[in-house]
Amino acid sequence: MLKRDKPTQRYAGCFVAMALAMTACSFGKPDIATVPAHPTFEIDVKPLLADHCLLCHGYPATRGAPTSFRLDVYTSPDSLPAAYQEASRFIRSIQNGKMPPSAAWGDGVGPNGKAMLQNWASDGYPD
Amino acid sequence: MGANSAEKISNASDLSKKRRHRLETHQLLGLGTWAFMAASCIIGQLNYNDLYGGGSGRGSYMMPHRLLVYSTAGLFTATGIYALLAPQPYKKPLKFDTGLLHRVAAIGATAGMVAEVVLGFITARTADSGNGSGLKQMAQIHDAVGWTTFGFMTIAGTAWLF
Repeated sequence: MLKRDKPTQRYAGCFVAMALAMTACSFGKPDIATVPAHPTFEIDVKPLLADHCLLCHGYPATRGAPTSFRLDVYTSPDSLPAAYQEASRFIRSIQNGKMPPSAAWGDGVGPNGKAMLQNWASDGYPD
Repeated sequence: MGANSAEKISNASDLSKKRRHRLETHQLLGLGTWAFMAASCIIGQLNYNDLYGGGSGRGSYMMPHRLLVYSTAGLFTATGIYALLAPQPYKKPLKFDTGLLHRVAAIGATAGMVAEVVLGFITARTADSGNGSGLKQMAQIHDAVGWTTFGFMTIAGTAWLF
Protein backbone atom coordinates (compact mmCIF):
# COMPACT_ATOMS: atom_id res chain seq x y z
CA MET A 1 0.00 0.00 0.00
CA LEU A 2 1.18 3.53 -0.78
CA LYS A 3 2.62 5.11 2.33
CA ARG A 4 1.20 8.59 2.68
CA ASP A 5 3.70 10.97 4.20
CA LYS A 6 2.89 14.52 5.33
CA PRO A 7 3.97 16.35 2.11
CA THR A 8 1.76 13.97 0.04
CA GLN A 9 -1.19 14.72 2.31
CA ARG A 10 -0.45 18.44 2.07
CA TYR A 11 -0.37 18.33 -1.77
CA ALA A 12 -3.58 16.28 -1.86
CA GLY A 13 -5.21 18.77 0.54
CA CYS A 14 -4.13 21.72 -1.63
CA PHE A 15 -5.46 19.98 -4.75
CA VAL A 16 -8.85 19.25 -3.14
CA ALA A 17 -9.07 22.84 -1.79
CA MET A 18 -8.22 24.22 -5.25
CA ALA A 19 -10.83 21.97 -6.92
CA LEU A 20 -13.51 23.02 -4.40
CA ALA A 21 -12.62 26.71 -4.80
CA MET A 22 -12.82 26.41 -8.60
CA THR A 23 -16.24 24.74 -8.54
CA ALA A 24 -17.54 27.33 -6.05
CA CYS A 25 -16.40 30.27 -8.21
CA SER A 26 -18.84 32.05 -10.51
CA PHE A 27 -17.85 32.59 -14.15
CA GLY A 28 -21.14 33.93 -15.54
CA LYS A 29 -22.38 37.51 -15.89
CA PRO A 30 -24.01 38.97 -12.73
CA ASP A 31 -27.78 39.12 -12.29
CA ILE A 32 -29.69 42.28 -13.29
CA ALA A 33 -30.04 44.78 -10.43
CA THR A 34 -33.80 45.38 -10.56
CA VAL A 35 -36.82 43.65 -12.06
CA PRO A 36 -38.72 45.86 -14.54
CA ALA A 37 -42.49 45.52 -14.22
CA HIS A 38 -43.12 45.75 -17.96
CA PRO A 39 -39.97 44.67 -19.80
CA THR A 40 -39.56 44.85 -23.58
CA PHE A 41 -37.36 42.78 -25.87
CA GLU A 42 -35.08 45.57 -27.08
CA ILE A 43 -34.51 47.29 -23.72
CA ASP A 44 -34.53 44.40 -21.25
CA VAL A 45 -34.57 40.92 -22.81
CA LYS A 46 -31.97 41.34 -25.57
CA PRO A 47 -29.21 42.52 -23.16
CA LEU A 48 -29.98 39.55 -20.90
CA LEU A 49 -29.77 37.18 -23.87
CA ALA A 50 -26.48 38.85 -24.88
CA ASP A 51 -25.08 38.12 -21.40
CA HIS A 52 -26.14 34.48 -21.23
CA CYS A 53 -27.18 33.06 -24.62
CA LEU A 54 -25.90 34.81 -27.73
CA LEU A 55 -22.35 33.49 -27.47
CA CYS A 56 -23.78 30.26 -28.95
CA HIS A 57 -27.35 31.12 -30.05
CA GLY A 58 -26.45 34.25 -32.01
CA TYR A 59 -26.39 34.45 -35.75
CA PRO A 60 -24.88 32.34 -37.13
CA ALA A 61 -25.14 29.82 -34.28
CA THR A 62 -21.77 28.66 -32.91
CA ARG A 63 -20.24 26.04 -30.58
CA GLY A 64 -22.56 23.27 -31.73
CA ALA A 65 -25.80 25.19 -31.02
CA PRO A 66 -28.75 24.35 -33.31
CA THR A 67 -29.00 26.48 -36.45
CA SER A 68 -32.79 26.12 -36.68
CA PHE A 69 -33.55 29.36 -34.76
CA ARG A 70 -31.90 32.63 -33.68
CA LEU A 71 -32.25 34.68 -30.51
CA ASP A 72 -30.42 37.86 -31.51
CA VAL A 73 -33.51 39.41 -33.13
CA TYR A 74 -37.19 39.71 -32.15
CA THR A 75 -38.45 38.52 -35.52
CA SER A 76 -36.15 37.23 -38.20
CA PRO A 77 -35.83 38.77 -41.65
CA ASP A 78 -35.31 35.25 -43.00
CA SER A 79 -37.57 32.25 -42.51
CA LEU A 80 -35.95 31.15 -39.23
CA PRO A 81 -37.98 31.38 -36.00
CA ALA A 82 -36.51 34.13 -33.78
CA ALA A 83 -36.83 35.28 -30.14
CA TYR A 84 -40.57 36.05 -30.34
CA GLN A 85 -41.48 32.65 -31.82
CA GLU A 86 -39.04 30.81 -29.52
CA ALA A 87 -39.84 32.85 -26.38
CA SER A 88 -41.86 30.28 -24.43
CA ARG A 89 -39.31 27.56 -25.21
CA PHE A 90 -36.17 29.48 -24.25
CA ILE A 91 -37.81 30.94 -21.13
CA ARG A 92 -38.76 27.41 -20.02
CA SER A 93 -35.16 26.22 -20.61
CA ILE A 94 -33.80 29.11 -18.55
CA GLN A 95 -36.35 28.68 -15.74
CA ASN A 96 -35.66 24.92 -15.56
CA GLY A 97 -31.90 25.55 -15.32
CA LYS A 98 -31.29 23.64 -18.57
CA MET A 99 -29.74 26.68 -20.23
CA PRO A 100 -27.14 28.09 -20.26
CA PRO A 101 -25.25 24.78 -19.83
CA SER A 102 -23.34 26.16 -16.85
CA ALA A 103 -26.61 26.82 -14.95
CA ALA A 104 -26.14 23.43 -13.30
CA TRP A 105 -22.98 24.88 -11.68
CA GLY A 106 -24.78 28.05 -10.53
CA ASP A 107 -23.73 30.19 -13.52
CA GLY A 108 -27.20 30.57 -15.03
CA VAL A 109 -29.59 33.51 -15.21
CA GLY A 110 -30.15 34.99 -11.74
CA PRO A 111 -33.51 35.26 -9.90
CA ASN A 112 -34.06 38.87 -11.06
CA GLY A 113 -33.39 37.92 -14.68
CA LYS A 114 -35.82 35.00 -14.41
CA ALA A 115 -38.49 37.24 -12.82
CA MET A 116 -38.01 39.78 -15.62
CA LEU A 117 -38.53 37.05 -18.25
CA GLN A 118 -41.67 35.95 -16.39
CA ASN A 119 -43.02 39.52 -16.53
CA TRP A 120 -42.17 39.72 -20.22
CA ALA A 121 -44.12 36.50 -20.83
CA SER A 122 -47.10 37.76 -18.77
CA ASP A 123 -47.24 40.90 -20.96
CA GLY A 124 -47.29 38.78 -24.15
CA TYR A 125 -43.62 39.13 -25.15
CA PRO A 126 -43.65 42.82 -26.28
CA ASP A 127 -40.98 44.05 -28.74
CA MET B 1 30.58 -11.21 4.39
CA GLY B 2 28.01 -11.04 7.19
CA ALA B 3 24.36 -12.09 7.08
CA ASN B 4 23.32 -8.43 7.24
CA SER B 5 25.39 -7.49 4.17
CA ALA B 6 23.97 -10.43 2.18
CA GLU B 7 20.45 -9.39 3.16
CA LYS B 8 21.14 -5.79 2.13
CA ILE B 9 22.43 -6.88 -1.30
CA SER B 10 19.41 -9.13 -1.78
CA ASN B 11 17.06 -6.26 -0.86
CA ALA B 12 18.87 -3.90 -3.22
CA SER B 13 18.61 -6.46 -6.01
CA ASP B 14 14.86 -6.86 -5.42
CA LEU B 15 14.41 -3.09 -5.34
CA SER B 16 16.42 -2.74 -8.58
CA LYS B 17 14.14 -5.27 -10.32
CA LYS B 18 11.08 -3.45 -9.06
CA ARG B 19 12.54 -0.10 -10.14
CA ARG B 20 13.31 -1.43 -13.63
CA HIS B 21 9.77 -2.81 -14.05
CA ARG B 22 8.15 0.45 -12.91
CA LEU B 23 10.38 2.65 -15.04
CA GLU B 24 9.78 0.49 -18.12
CA THR B 25 6.03 0.93 -17.56
CA HIS B 26 6.69 4.64 -16.97
CA GLN B 27 8.47 4.80 -20.37
CA LEU B 28 5.62 3.11 -22.23
CA LEU B 29 3.01 5.32 -20.53
CA GLY B 30 5.20 8.37 -21.19
CA LEU B 31 5.33 7.62 -24.92
CA GLY B 32 1.55 7.16 -24.94
CA THR B 33 1.11 10.43 -23.06
CA TRP B 34 3.37 12.24 -25.53
CA ALA B 35 1.34 10.94 -28.50
CA PHE B 36 -1.99 11.89 -26.89
CA MET B 37 -0.60 15.29 -25.88
CA ALA B 38 0.54 15.92 -29.48
CA ALA B 39 -2.96 15.05 -30.72
CA SER B 40 -4.55 17.24 -27.98
CA CYS B 41 -2.38 20.22 -28.98
CA ILE B 42 -3.11 19.82 -32.70
CA ILE B 43 -6.87 19.36 -32.23
CA GLY B 44 -6.83 22.11 -29.58
CA GLN B 45 -5.17 24.47 -32.05
CA LEU B 46 -7.80 23.60 -34.69
CA ASN B 47 -10.48 24.21 -32.05
CA TYR B 48 -8.97 27.61 -31.22
CA ASN B 49 -8.77 28.56 -34.91
CA ASP B 50 -12.38 27.44 -35.41
CA LEU B 51 -13.77 29.39 -32.43
CA TYR B 52 -11.52 32.46 -32.25
CA GLY B 53 -9.34 32.56 -35.35
CA GLY B 54 -11.88 33.32 -38.04
CA GLY B 55 -13.11 29.74 -38.50
CA SER B 56 -16.72 28.65 -38.89
CA GLY B 57 -17.26 28.72 -35.10
CA ARG B 58 -19.39 25.56 -35.32
CA GLY B 59 -17.38 23.87 -32.58
CA SER B 60 -16.65 20.69 -34.52
CA TYR B 61 -13.39 20.12 -32.60
CA MET B 62 -14.77 20.79 -29.11
CA MET B 63 -15.74 17.21 -28.22
CA PRO B 64 -12.68 15.53 -29.82
CA HIS B 65 -10.44 18.01 -27.94
CA ARG B 66 -12.27 17.34 -24.68
CA LEU B 67 -11.93 13.55 -25.03
CA LEU B 68 -8.25 13.83 -25.93
CA VAL B 69 -7.38 16.09 -23.00
CA TYR B 70 -9.18 13.82 -20.52
CA SER B 71 -7.20 10.86 -21.89
CA THR B 72 -3.94 12.84 -21.81
CA ALA B 73 -4.52 13.96 -18.22
CA GLY B 74 -5.24 10.36 -17.17
CA LEU B 75 -2.16 8.98 -18.93
CA PHE B 76 0.04 11.80 -17.59
CA THR B 77 -1.09 11.05 -14.01
CA ALA B 78 -0.45 7.32 -14.44
CA THR B 79 3.00 8.05 -15.93
CA GLY B 80 3.90 10.30 -13.01
CA ILE B 81 2.66 7.80 -10.43
CA TYR B 82 4.84 5.02 -11.90
CA ALA B 83 7.90 7.30 -11.76
CA LEU B 84 7.21 8.41 -8.19
CA LEU B 85 6.61 4.85 -7.00
CA ALA B 86 9.87 3.51 -8.48
CA PRO B 87 12.09 2.62 -5.50
CA GLN B 88 15.64 3.99 -5.28
CA PRO B 89 17.95 1.20 -4.09
CA TYR B 90 21.09 3.36 -4.21
CA LYS B 91 21.70 6.98 -3.30
CA LYS B 92 22.74 8.96 -6.37
CA PRO B 93 24.60 12.28 -6.08
CA LEU B 94 22.89 15.26 -7.72
CA LYS B 95 24.67 16.28 -10.92
CA PHE B 96 23.69 17.73 -14.28
CA ASP B 97 23.00 14.81 -16.58
CA THR B 98 20.18 13.58 -18.81
CA GLY B 99 18.40 12.16 -15.74
CA LEU B 100 18.29 15.57 -14.09
CA LEU B 101 17.21 17.23 -17.36
CA HIS B 102 14.43 14.62 -17.65
CA ARG B 103 13.24 15.40 -14.11
CA VAL B 104 13.34 19.18 -14.56
CA ALA B 105 11.39 18.89 -17.82
CA ALA B 106 8.90 16.52 -16.17
CA ILE B 107 8.36 19.03 -13.32
CA GLY B 108 7.77 21.75 -15.95
CA ALA B 109 5.31 19.49 -17.78
CA THR B 110 3.51 18.74 -14.49
CA ALA B 111 3.17 22.46 -13.71
CA GLY B 112 1.90 22.99 -17.26
CA MET B 113 -0.64 20.17 -16.94
CA VAL B 114 -2.01 21.58 -13.66
CA ALA B 115 -2.24 25.05 -15.25
CA GLU B 116 -3.97 23.57 -18.31
CA VAL B 117 -6.58 21.75 -16.22
CA VAL B 118 -7.35 24.96 -14.28
CA LEU B 119 -7.37 27.19 -17.41
CA GLY B 120 -9.38 24.66 -19.42
CA PHE B 121 -11.95 24.36 -16.63
CA ILE B 122 -12.31 28.15 -16.29
CA THR B 123 -12.53 28.67 -20.08
CA ALA B 124 -15.15 25.93 -20.51
CA ARG B 125 -17.22 27.14 -17.51
CA THR B 126 -17.12 30.75 -18.77
CA ALA B 127 -18.18 29.72 -22.28
CA ASP B 128 -20.90 27.40 -20.94
CA SER B 129 -22.34 30.29 -18.93
CA GLY B 130 -22.68 32.27 -22.18
CA ASN B 131 -20.21 34.87 -20.94
CA GLY B 132 -17.94 35.92 -23.81
CA SER B 133 -15.90 38.48 -21.79
CA GLY B 134 -12.18 37.73 -21.89
CA LEU B 135 -12.84 34.31 -23.38
CA LYS B 136 -10.45 34.76 -26.31
CA GLN B 137 -7.62 35.88 -24.01
CA MET B 138 -8.16 32.88 -21.74
CA ALA B 139 -8.20 30.56 -24.75
CA GLN B 140 -4.96 32.17 -26.03
CA ILE B 141 -3.23 31.56 -22.68
CA HIS B 142 -4.61 27.99 -22.58
CA ASP B 143 -3.26 27.43 -26.11
CA ALA B 144 0.20 28.85 -25.31
CA VAL B 145 0.52 26.89 -22.04
CA GLY B 146 -0.59 23.73 -23.88
CA TRP B 147 2.20 23.98 -26.47
CA THR B 148 4.74 24.88 -23.75
CA THR B 149 3.71 21.79 -21.77
CA PHE B 150 4.11 19.70 -24.92
CA GLY B 151 7.60 21.23 -25.32
CA PHE B 152 8.55 20.18 -21.77
CA MET B 153 7.17 16.70 -22.46
CA THR B 154 9.24 16.45 -25.66
CA ILE B 155 12.39 17.53 -23.78
CA ALA B 156 11.68 14.96 -21.05
CA GLY B 157 11.26 12.21 -23.66
CA THR B 158 14.30 13.26 -25.69
CA ALA B 159 16.48 13.43 -22.57
CA TRP B 160 15.52 9.84 -21.77
CA LEU B 161 16.64 8.71 -25.27
CA PHE B 162 20.23 9.96 -24.85
